[in-house]
Amino acid sequence: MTAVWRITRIEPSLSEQALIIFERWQNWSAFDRSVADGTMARVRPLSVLAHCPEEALLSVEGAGCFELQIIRVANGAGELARAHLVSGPIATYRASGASRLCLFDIIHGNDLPALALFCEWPNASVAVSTYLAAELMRGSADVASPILDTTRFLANRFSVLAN
Amino acid sequence: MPSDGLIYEMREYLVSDGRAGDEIARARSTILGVAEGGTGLFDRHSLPRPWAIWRGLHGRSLPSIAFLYTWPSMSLRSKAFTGLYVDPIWIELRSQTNGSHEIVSRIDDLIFTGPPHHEPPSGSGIYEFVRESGTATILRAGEIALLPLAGDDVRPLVIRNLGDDLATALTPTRVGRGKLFQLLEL
Repeated sequence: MTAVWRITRIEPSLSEQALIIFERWQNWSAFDRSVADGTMARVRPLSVLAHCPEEALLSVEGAGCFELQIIRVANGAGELARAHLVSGPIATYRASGASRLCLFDIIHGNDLPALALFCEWPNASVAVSTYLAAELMRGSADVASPILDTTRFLANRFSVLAN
Repeated sequence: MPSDGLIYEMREYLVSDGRAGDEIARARSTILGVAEGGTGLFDRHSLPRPWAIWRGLHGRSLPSIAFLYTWPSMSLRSKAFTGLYVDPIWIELRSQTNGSHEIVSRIDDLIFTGPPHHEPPSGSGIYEFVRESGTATILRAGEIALLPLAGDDVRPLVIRNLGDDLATALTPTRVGRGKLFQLLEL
């Protein structure tokens, strides 16, 4: 069965660094047990529940330049959007040095349907220049792209909590 | 804290302007059994009848239709909806009723924990959906508070009946507190 992920983005503040938290359950049954026995961590704002079709291989934690994109797509265009992202922007990101690329389908959250894209960049300037290049490429290639709206979130840390 | 309650799923559909009626008709067709004039899709895939259905009246992101479901577990919920979404009858119904444009433009699909037993609302009425901090939430009879497991706003969601009179519901002390909905009959 597909793993269940809760992905939370913590905005930077005086007390906290920008942080992306992944919580992983082996499947929905494990998620249910976590709810029933009270071991699930307290929910924080700006979180979603998601699946990743290809098993996401994330280590426990890291420091560097990480990015989480929440990509809202037109209703009914989820598969088109995923294929478009894989063949377009994600290929460009990878060619520019992005690693740990994972594309999640968000199952529960606000403002769906949406995908979540996570990756690590060599540094922030590469992240910004590659994003702008990919965005320009996308705009000129397909005005009617199913990808409607992207929220970019750059963080200097991420962590994974396995349940 | 251990929970012996149910999972509550709030699915609020923001529909295209002028198509709330189409969404309600499609929901009835999907939910109701064949003997009731529907397609029987919910029964076939073991989806429960919605605990309640509402139409948005006041607040952000309108027009909207909200469905609240209760589930014994997320694993059963996942199995049921996965089966529905690949059912050829659902795919055909969805395509036919959409026509040239999707009825639903976006969805807030939020999961909560809540009490194990709670009588669903019945009849008509205006309801308020409002986020209130847990420690400050004192429930009155007929109100229900649900604790989110994800989302942009993780304060408890309180659903309360404001009676049948929209004018009363829109009194100055009420306006702006939460989103107002009208309960719909299935």
